[in-house]
Amino acid sequence: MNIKAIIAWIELGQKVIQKGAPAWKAIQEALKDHGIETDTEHLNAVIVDAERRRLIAESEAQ
Amino acid sequence: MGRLAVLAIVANLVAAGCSSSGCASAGGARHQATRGVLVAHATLAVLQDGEMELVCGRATAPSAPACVPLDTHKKVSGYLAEAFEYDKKVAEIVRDLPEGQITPVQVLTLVGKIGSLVTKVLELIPDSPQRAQLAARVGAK
Repeated sequence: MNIKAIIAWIELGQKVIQKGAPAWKAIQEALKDHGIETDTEHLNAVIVDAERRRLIAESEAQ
Repeated sequence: MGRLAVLAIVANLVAAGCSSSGCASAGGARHQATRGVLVAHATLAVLQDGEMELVCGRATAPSAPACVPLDTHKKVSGYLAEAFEYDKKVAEIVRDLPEGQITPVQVLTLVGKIGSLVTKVLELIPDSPQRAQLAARVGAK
């Protein structure tokens, strides 16, 4: 999974917070263009980004 | 939306065994949980990116005393590191759920811990219009 796809996924995830559930279908369609389609792919994107952000936070905490 | 309301919704989504339209078919509970995980992760990401912009001395930060002092930022980052660890664990648990299985209680516990850390982070950030905006974006007061 490439970094552009992950960034796109996060940006669209933020829109879910702002706009609520109706944004979900639009997000799913947009993410398909980035090769993120299934629930497993969504979850793998979270896992990768959570680890990336955990490392950033650890570094900032030093 | 009240404090932690977003994460309360997440906890419900993640724990859902049946949707409002009836009991979940195979994969239904997992799909609900996946949506909850997405919202929880995006909340943490918004919080991390937003707080970074408020650290004193950074171009995007407000003037003191509204900006986040460096020692406070380090404390905030420690909380966020812990939150992302739980975030990753929740995603792994949900990803590895067998089809049709209801989300385990462990996930609710972890989401609760994430919620507590989000509260701690927001309490550390000094009051400012930017802080209010960030709180609104993550669904807190």
